[in-house]
Amino acid sequence: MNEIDRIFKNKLNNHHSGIPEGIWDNIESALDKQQHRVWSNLPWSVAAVIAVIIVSVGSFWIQDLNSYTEIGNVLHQTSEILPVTTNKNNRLSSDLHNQDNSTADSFTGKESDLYAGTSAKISDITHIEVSKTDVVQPTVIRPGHISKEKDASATDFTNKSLNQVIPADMNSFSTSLFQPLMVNIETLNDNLMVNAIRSNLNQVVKGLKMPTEPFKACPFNVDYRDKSLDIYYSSDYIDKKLSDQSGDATLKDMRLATESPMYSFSAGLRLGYNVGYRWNLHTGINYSQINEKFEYTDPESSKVRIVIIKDYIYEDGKVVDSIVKQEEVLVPGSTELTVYNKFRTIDIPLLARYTIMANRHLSLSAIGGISINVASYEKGMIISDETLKPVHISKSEDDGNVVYKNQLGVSYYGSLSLAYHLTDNMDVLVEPYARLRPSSVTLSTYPLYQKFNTYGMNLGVRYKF
Amino acid sequence: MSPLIVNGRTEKEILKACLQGDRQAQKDLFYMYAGKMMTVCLRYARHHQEAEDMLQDGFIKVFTNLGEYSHMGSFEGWVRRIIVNTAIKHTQKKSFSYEDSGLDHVREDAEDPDALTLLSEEELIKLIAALPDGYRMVFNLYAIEGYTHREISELLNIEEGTSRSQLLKARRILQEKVNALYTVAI
Repeated sequence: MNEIDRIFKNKLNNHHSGIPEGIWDNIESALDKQQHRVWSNLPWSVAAVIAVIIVSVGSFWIQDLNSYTEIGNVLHQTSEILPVTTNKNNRLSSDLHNQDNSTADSFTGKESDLYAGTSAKISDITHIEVSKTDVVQPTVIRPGHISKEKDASATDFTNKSLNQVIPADMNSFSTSLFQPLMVNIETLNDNLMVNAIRSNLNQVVKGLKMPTEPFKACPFNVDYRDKSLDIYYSSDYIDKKLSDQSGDATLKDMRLATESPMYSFSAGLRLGYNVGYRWNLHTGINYSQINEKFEYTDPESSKVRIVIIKDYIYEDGKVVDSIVKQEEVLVPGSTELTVYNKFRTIDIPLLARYTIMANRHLSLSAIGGISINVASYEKGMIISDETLKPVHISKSEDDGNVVYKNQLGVSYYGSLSLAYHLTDNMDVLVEPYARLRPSSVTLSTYPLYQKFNTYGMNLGVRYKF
Repeated sequence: MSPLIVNGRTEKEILKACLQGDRQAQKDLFYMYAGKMMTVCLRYARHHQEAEDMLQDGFIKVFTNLGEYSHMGSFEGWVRRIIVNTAIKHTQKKSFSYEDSGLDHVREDAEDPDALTLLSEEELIKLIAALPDGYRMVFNLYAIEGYTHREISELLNIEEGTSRSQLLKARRILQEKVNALYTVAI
């Protein structure tokens, strides 16, 4: 080591200089700001999830309350209107559909079938099928949806009521309350009884507000399909946020001045599976592409031009030879650079969908969950934090500046999904959504935090199978 | 060596508390190293205000990235590296350019280090601060931090030859300034 170096090192390496006053206060306030920034971003990301949970749980709770009220009404009605006496062969069938209880909101049987039965002779009425599940749908009590005490009392009540309708030897009914049921009335005693059934079932039908039009596909109305495939596309609005860590806003200002948003989009596939009453889980793959335009003008750019000079050698007024020379000339000027940047991300969504309301045409669901980023790619140019000149951001480029993370972690997803039932197994989806990315997409070594929040409108189709 | 204890807490305990967001621990940690790091910043900065900015930004990065400290090397060395990197970026942002000259014209003068030993630390810092940006960076990194020319070339994005020539020029300028000081003094 050089002697000068050694002297400087020995004297300065462990030297303590005076600490400027107030510098700790500045650091403390900067750290507070950073902490505040974390907290201020958190509500946005959590709010969507909380909102979805509140809406879901609230709706779910209200639905449960309604179910209890309807239990009494319907069963009382049934007990009053169906003083049916049946012979010993009458039986209840509990296995006609492998249908989940949740799918039965109303009649699936045709009203005309009931009327047809009443006009026939007793001997002809051998097989009037009334979907018990449908008639007493609100009485269906699903395990897990009520407490044990409620469950027991409801079951007792239900048994008691039904025992007024159904002969005592049909004890199997009480054990099959939790399954879709169908009453097979194989024989009826007389026409009077049929008329009674007819008139009283009308009351039940009115009480249940049975739709008179043909049913369309809806998770609550027709045959149950527990799987679905969504395909969607969205035009996206990108809310880009750059925040400076160092206190020097030069880089941030330059980046904001040189980058402008362009049309961005996302598309994906989602598989869905019905896991319970109104609840579906979805997962799949989502591709998003954020497009930006990078425009930079270098006012002090110069180009090297090659000038070819040809000298002619004359002799007696005639050209006898020529000499070609090549010179490089530096031409000062400015350079305008336009690059189209692309930020591509591939995410795996893990979503829960709760159907808030539905009729035979439409259903409205709330969707919430997370998306796990599995890969991100970027291509284009930005202003370098080191030179404040344009630099490639693609990792594959030789002069590429590694600024962005390979994996962006978890983002929060929330949406309202409106489905129009096109056919029995096909829905059209309109789904306004927000995807909030809580963490920076840039590396910690980069002096700017960069975040992308995405807002868009998914348009797609849902195929149920 | 007995562990450094500040306000009844060892460095390890202070670090642990810092990670939990204990502001007093962060303050203790800052004052534990701020004096030394201020000297580092003064060596890289052109003036005192710039050194303050470097120190402030450097410590914000230290606290922000504290979770990444692996406890493998000395904590002081880790802090110093962050401060040095912050200082380099600060200086580069001011868009100085390295004087890229070959070694041909550079002659290493006969040195008279005795005069240097008579100077105080503050005077030495002032001498370094007066160097052109490129010379100052290379001299600091090579002579005091102990980086090799190869590492400097990668860190500052310059040729190794440039790093060598700038180091020689820095030494010569420093020597000339010391000689001038003594000539005036005599």
